[in-house]
Amino acid sequence: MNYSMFDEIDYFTNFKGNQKIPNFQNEFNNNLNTLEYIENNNLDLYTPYEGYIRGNLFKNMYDQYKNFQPGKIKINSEQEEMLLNIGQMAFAAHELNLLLDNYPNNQEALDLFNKYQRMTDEVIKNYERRYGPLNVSSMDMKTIPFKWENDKWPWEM
Amino acid sequence: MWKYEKRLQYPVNIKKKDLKLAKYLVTQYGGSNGELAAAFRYLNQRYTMPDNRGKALLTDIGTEELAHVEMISTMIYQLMKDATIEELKEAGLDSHYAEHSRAIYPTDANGVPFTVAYFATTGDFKADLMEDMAAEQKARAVYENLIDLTDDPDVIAPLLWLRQREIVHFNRFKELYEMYEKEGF
Repeated sequence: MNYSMFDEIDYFTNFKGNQKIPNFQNEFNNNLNTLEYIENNNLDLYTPYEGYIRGNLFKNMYDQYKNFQPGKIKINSEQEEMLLNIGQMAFAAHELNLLLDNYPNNQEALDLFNKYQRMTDEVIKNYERRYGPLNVSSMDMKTIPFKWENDKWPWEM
Repeated sequence: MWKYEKRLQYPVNIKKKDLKLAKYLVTQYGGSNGELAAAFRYLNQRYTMPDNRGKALLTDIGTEELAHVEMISTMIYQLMKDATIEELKEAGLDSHYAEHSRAIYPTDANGVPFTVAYFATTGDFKADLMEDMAAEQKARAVYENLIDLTDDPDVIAPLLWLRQREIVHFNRFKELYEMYEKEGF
């Protein structure tokens, strides 16, 4: 099996502390029929995490430099862990977006794109509830002071 | 139009000051093969692509390059943060300090300021896509040179990651070019 959905399940259930990502477990259970489909498709993809640390979701395109292994992303807080979830899901969706730009009729890529996009939206919503807005259009902006300018900016993290 | 998301595409967390490296790394911000040139080269070329595949691909890769500008800028900022005047002088960044203090500013590794000449647009989609493929290869080569110049794992990880993006983008441009050829565009 080239593409392991189980890695994702492990990933999402291995959160430290009390953090819960609602819906994902149900999402995965409801999508078990998708699993069979993904195993049999023509896309040879890394899992979102494995693709994210490499900067490349496509196994046939990955090109290692010398003997450098992809960096492991260090997690020092729950916030960084949630950002990693957003990063990997958004990255997987973006990689499929670029593929679909060239091959707009690839149904398998489209289904996966929609799946990862939905998961990205979900993890962003969860993050914003806890740590403040990532987008100025976030729902979490109703109280003063204006939350957009709060917290650290990306280059200060 | 564009929207900003307040996060990096891939995390950058550099703890060790390194002014020499900052001086080299800036070329991937403001050099001819850098991310800023890439972003606007593609966003500028997209208007004259022959069909919607090209318009979509150049829009989406151009947009991603803006996220890479942010990553490189973050790396330079973190490498230079808290530098003393003495340290800036030692690294040969005293002339940078004279013009820009501790701000970041798009130049190449020799301090030559960014220029829109790097956008390299002909309006001929074959020439433009070939230019883009070459640009991705040149940026990959520069990332490899930069990786060779450091041993800080906090710097190497994002450089490896950005290098890999050049490979993916190169392959997407190549696919599109070959499809256009085959379809007789």
